[in-house]
Amino acid sequence: MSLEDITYKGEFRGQILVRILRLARPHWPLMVGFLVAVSFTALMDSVNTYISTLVIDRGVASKNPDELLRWGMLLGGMFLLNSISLLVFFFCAGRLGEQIQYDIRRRLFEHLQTLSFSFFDRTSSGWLLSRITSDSHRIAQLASWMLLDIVWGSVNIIMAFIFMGWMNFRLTLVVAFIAPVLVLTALFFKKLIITEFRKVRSINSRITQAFSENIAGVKVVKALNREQKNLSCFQQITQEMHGASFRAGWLSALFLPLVQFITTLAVAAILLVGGWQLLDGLLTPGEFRAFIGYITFMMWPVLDLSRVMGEMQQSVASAERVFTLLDTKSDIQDRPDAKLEARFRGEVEFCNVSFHYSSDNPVIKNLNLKVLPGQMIALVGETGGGKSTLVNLVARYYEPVLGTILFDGKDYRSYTQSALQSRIGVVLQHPHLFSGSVRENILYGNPEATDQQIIDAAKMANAHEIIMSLPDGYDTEVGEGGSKLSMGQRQLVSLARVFVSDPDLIIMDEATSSIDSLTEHLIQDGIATLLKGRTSFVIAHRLSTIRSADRILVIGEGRVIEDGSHSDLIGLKGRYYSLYTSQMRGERAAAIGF
Amino acid sequence: MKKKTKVKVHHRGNTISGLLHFAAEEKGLLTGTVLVLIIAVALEAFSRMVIRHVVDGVLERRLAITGVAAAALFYLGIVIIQGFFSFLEGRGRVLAAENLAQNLRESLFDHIQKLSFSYHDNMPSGELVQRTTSDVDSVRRFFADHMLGVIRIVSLFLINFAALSIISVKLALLSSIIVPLIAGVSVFFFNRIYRAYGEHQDQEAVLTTFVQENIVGNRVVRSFARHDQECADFDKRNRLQREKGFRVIFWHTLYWPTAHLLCGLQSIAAIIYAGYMVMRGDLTLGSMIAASFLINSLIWPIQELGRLVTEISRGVVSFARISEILQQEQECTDDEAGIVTEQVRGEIIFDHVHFSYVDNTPVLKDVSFSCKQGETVALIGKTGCGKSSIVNLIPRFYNVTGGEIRLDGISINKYSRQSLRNHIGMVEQDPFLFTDTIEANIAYGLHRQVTREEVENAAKAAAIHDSIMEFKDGYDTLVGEKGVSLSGGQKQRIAIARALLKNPLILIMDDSTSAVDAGTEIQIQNSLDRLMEGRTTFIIAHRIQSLMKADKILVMSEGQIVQMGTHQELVSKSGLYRDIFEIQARVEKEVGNESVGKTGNLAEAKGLL
Repeated sequence: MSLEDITYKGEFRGQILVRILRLARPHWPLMVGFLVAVSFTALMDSVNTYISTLVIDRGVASKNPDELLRWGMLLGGMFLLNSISLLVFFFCAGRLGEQIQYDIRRRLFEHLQTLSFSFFDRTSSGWLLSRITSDSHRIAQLASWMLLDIVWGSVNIIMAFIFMGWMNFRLTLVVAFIAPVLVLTALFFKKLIITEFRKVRSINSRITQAFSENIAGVKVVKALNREQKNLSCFQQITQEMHGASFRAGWLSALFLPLVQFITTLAVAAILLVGGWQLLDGLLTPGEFRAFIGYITFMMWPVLDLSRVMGEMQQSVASAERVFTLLDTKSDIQDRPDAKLEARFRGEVEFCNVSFHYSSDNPVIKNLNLKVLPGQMIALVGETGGGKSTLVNLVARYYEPVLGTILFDGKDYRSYTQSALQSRIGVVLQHPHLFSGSVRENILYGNPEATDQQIIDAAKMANAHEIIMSLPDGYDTEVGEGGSKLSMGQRQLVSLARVFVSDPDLIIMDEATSSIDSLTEHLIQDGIATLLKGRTSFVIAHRLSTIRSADRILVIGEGRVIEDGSHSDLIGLKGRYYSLYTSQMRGERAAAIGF
Repeated sequence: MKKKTKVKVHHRGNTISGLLHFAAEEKGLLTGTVLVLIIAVALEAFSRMVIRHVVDGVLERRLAITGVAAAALFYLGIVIIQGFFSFLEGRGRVLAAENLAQNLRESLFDHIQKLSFSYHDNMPSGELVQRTTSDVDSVRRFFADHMLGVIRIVSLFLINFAALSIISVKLALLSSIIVPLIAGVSVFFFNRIYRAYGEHQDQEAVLTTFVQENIVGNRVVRSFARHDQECADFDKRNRLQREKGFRVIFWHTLYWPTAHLLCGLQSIAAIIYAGYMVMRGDLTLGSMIAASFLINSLIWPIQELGRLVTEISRGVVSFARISEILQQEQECTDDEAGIVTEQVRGEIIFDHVHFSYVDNTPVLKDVSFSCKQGETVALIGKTGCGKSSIVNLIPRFYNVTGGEIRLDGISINKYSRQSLRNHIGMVEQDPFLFTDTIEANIAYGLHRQVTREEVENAAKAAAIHDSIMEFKDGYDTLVGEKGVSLSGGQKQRIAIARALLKNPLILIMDDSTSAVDAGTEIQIQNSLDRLMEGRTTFIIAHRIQSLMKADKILVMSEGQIVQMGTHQELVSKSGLYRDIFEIQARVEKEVGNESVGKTGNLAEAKGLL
């Protein structure tokens, strides 16, 4: 099953939380720093309200200017201390978040480099990208700012009650009811709101999709005069969006006054009971003010806590995804004693090789095959017959389920994957270039290559002249994925990249995209030079390529059906013969047309 | 319930007044919302006065327990009303913002699909999607949060200031003495914070692109064993990203303690002063307590002002980016003056046509040719020679810059675009399928109800029916970005079915079946032949056999027709056609000879044709 198909619920399981905290362990001073600072700040909020009480009772009410000034100055000092505390926790929590995000991203990226090919076949790049970008961010937020909010909120509420209880226990009992009511209301409401926002998000992704499809497919839309119909379909989605967002919005708008109302009930109770105590002299005016201050302020930690609770679930789900990804081990592991260097003459042998992607669907069945150094092997056969799998096995993108593959007589698993794969040159149907200059892309094949080697490689690939005709020659930027070059130019540059790496073995999926005939000719020549003297496996689509092979393997139903030279196989009048003639039908028309 | 007026953007689109002008559509709702907001803020300030009443009443022994109870009830009543008003305020701004956002989305959607091809060519689609989604969202947030947020802060200041003035004008003035300073500091710092944040976001984009390329190019990374280097390169970017993050944190770390200290000192100064006033007998104790709450509501919200102001400037930038799209002129699809015709014959004449894209580099130079009803015209030439431009001019995706194209003797500029396009079918090289069922994709271009039978017949004729039936959900199979992925050949045959169902008289085809195996190729060829029957067809040819059957071959080079004629005529003359042809033919001919030689069965090979 693909990682994408698992549901990640975001349940608060201890195990996950411990793992998240473990991410913060290397940066424990930051964590300790912000936890101490934020607790101090939360404490200060209560202390300051209390000092204000003294300002009023000892200073103002007692008509004592010295006391007023003393407690007033103390309050000022507290604000200064609190500012320092704020500085510490902003610094620590912020840095901690960045550090954790950095760490997760690095671990994920490095982990991705070790995963096997089959993994990338099963998992979309978009899914992986979101893990590195947004999930890492959410986890970092959880371990820093969200934790901070939780600590601040809870310490704040607890301290407020302690101070109130200390000042006037009876009045505190009267207002204590609001704590559970606030918390329950907040949790209940937050759940409602979160459900609505989830709907909004899912509609939003439909809107984005509608936009991007209509933009990408604008030619079809225009050609088929679909504008009116598309607009009315789109209007349905925006109408839904309007409904859901509005609902989520007014629920949120109701939330704040509701919380405020609950605190106000408590304030009214203070006015009533406290006013009565004030009458009886059981309460000072300063304390009376402090109670109202504590209760009205309590709204904020409650709002913060309920917000964090909502976001936390998403963050925990992010953590589940990230940890699942990090726990995924590559199907292909290097043996502990694997050799780090490799060099091959190019003899490849399949001994009783079987392979399947899933056990109910065998792809290669007990294959035996011996390829001599320097041989060019053309693989032909129907799509899905096993050609690509065979080539992927040679490149060790997959390993045989049964049997062994020998390179120069030795099991290829006795080399590390990177030693082995760096000796195999791969020419892809759709070459992938990286953003950067042409030179950097060729250097990718061999980081140590000199400028002369780069130019030589480009010349051998027939790419030099085309590169020189680009605006900045070898320093021309190719754009993301090579998008600034034409398909033919990309193929030539990627060919030069293979040349510069000087591989012992070539694997090639012949390009079939329509490139103008002249460039095509250059590419064909370049490829011919590359294949000369190297063992190669070519998934062939062109008659000319097939014909120039030393050996043709007709692959079908996971077996080698026919094996031999072109003329051998033609003579057989079997599968190859019918494939060949069928391929010929179109192309021959031209030849006979003369 | 909703008015569906189109967003009109004026040249002021890039300023705040442009945004407000756009908001005028919800003038009533927004004005109402501002009013309830002010009432809610005023009621909150008023509730503080009730506290004053209780404290003073009790201390001066004016108030008995019943009086206290009445005051508590009164307080509760005020707060309930205040809560109701602040709910109305929240609801009002969400509703206004959602109405405006919906309007903006729909206007953008419609506008974009009506913009000319030249516009789409020059505008990366990612950029457009970005503007239609995240920029619209930041405009939405401008109305939902930021605009009213600023109004709220200003009202809090003014109303609490007024309430304080009732208690004591001197106290009110002293309480707000450094408020302008706090506002200034706030704006200054948030300016820095957002600048740092912008750089942080840019680096995030760099990082994302890097990861994306690494994942997509996974095979290449492997085959050159470059993972260590990739990790090192990634780390460099990741580190930089962390640095940028630290930078943002740095400004926050400076700002919040500063703001806290400034606000704190201001409020303490005010309270101590109020304390002296009480001692001097200028103020009652109840007034002082009420004032301490009023002062808090007056001072602390100012901290947020900088954030809102900066967010607003971002909203303005977003709106400017949206306006830029909406100000682009649409291509007119339903020009009323245009000829609407039910039937065309399909005679096309290019009469000295010149064409260039916006940058004025000539793409077509003096192109003239004509074709009769039902003829097939094949276009060949190197990439960039102008052959795609020729076929794009026929449905008026672009307008000619010189000369004239005539359909049935009338300039195509005289037809309405919509009517013209109704007579043209297109099959692209890599057809675009929408995220929808196969059936919907085939019936995509029809403006009437289509039966399943019709769809199936078209699919059968396009030789795709059997492949469709192999899917579990048959015609209801979801395709496109989120659905099953189809092979190039399958997509193309769905596009052929789409064109067959539309049944146009003029057909434009980018003929490439290179991505399919031989058996399928023959099937496609057959369905193409069926499609072309009786229609005027323009075909961008990649294979010789498409050329050979054409009634007219146009050989293009650098925007000009260099050769024109049938296959037989062109191969007999030296020229570009024969050069291209020979490169392709040489190899095949040799193979052909060899195969025939080996098997000695020319007759059989011919019979297969």
